[in-house]
Amino acid sequence: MNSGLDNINQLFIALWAEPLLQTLGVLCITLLVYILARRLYAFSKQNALLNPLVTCTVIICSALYLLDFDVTQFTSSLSLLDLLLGPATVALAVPLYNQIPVIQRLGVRVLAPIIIAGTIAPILGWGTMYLLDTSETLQMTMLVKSITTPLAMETTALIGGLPELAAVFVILTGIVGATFAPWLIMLTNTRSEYAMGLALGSVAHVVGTTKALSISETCGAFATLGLCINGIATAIVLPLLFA
Amino acid sequence: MMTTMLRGAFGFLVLTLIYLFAVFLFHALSLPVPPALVGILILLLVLLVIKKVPLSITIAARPLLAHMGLFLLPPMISVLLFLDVFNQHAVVLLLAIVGSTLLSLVCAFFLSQKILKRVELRLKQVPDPDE
Repeated sequence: MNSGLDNINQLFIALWAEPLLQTLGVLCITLLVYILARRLYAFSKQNALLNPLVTCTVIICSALYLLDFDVTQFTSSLSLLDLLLGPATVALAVPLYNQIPVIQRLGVRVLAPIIIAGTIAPILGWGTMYLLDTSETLQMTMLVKSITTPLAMETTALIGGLPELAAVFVILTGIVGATFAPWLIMLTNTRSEYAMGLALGSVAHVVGTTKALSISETCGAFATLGLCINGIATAIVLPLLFA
Repeated sequence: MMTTMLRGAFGFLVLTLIYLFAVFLFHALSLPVPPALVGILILLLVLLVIKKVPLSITIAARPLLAHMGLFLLPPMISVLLFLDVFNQHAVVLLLAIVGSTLLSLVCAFFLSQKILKRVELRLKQVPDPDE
């Protein structure tokens, strides 16, 4: 009972772990970089390669590297963002709830592509890592690469992977998926917007969903469905299998 | 404007409390699924029971979901700490990520199209010239 409250307490203690001035400075700089990165993304007409998360990470990481600033200290000053990730993830229930009429209209059959895509993607990722003989930690981290980052990080922590690496794998997966999607759609001769959306959402999570939204509203709605269902299913199944 | 902000703040408070409650449940009951997922399921259950999304939750959810990227920056930056792992396995990692993503997308497009064809037809009630 107590351990639960202790863990919640720790979430808040992290907020003032660093000197206040440093925390505020780091937050302001990060926000500024984030705003610039979003501008750039909008300016490039939402090119997946210029995803704001990537631009931000590259800019901040290069700066930290060049200035030789302590990475742990920097991220610990950003605990507020860490804390906000929780409620933001919980908010995913809203788009999922809004998609329930779609499931009711189309029947459970609509879930089949999500389950298939959600199974193939991690198995292929894990298989490659296994065949190329990498450590088990990396293999476990690769298993979560197709689900939305916050769930991926928490899930990989439960099955013995590295959350920070998982975040990077997930984002890279999304970018690769969204960038190549138009060609793959042509290659597979996919014409159904439902199919495009479901596949993009369940393989390339949020980044794929953004791509799907640029195809059409319907496509985006189906991508959201894929993203939510696959994220939830994977986060339930993987810990049961490996934890 | 003011009421919208107040509603949003209330919605945000509710989302935060749900998350904290989920973290508490996760540790107190040693649940086998991630705490954020527990939070999603709690909120989904509530929405299913009240049969609509309260305006305050909608207002709070929109910016949180739109700026999820910002909240993910700390773990992304922490990857600097794993730079040696990355350098050591760069080729394998790229191969696994690029290869498996492309291949699974191809399978997903192809199979989704196959599976959904009939459903979509029934829904639109128009004959497909291919069949």
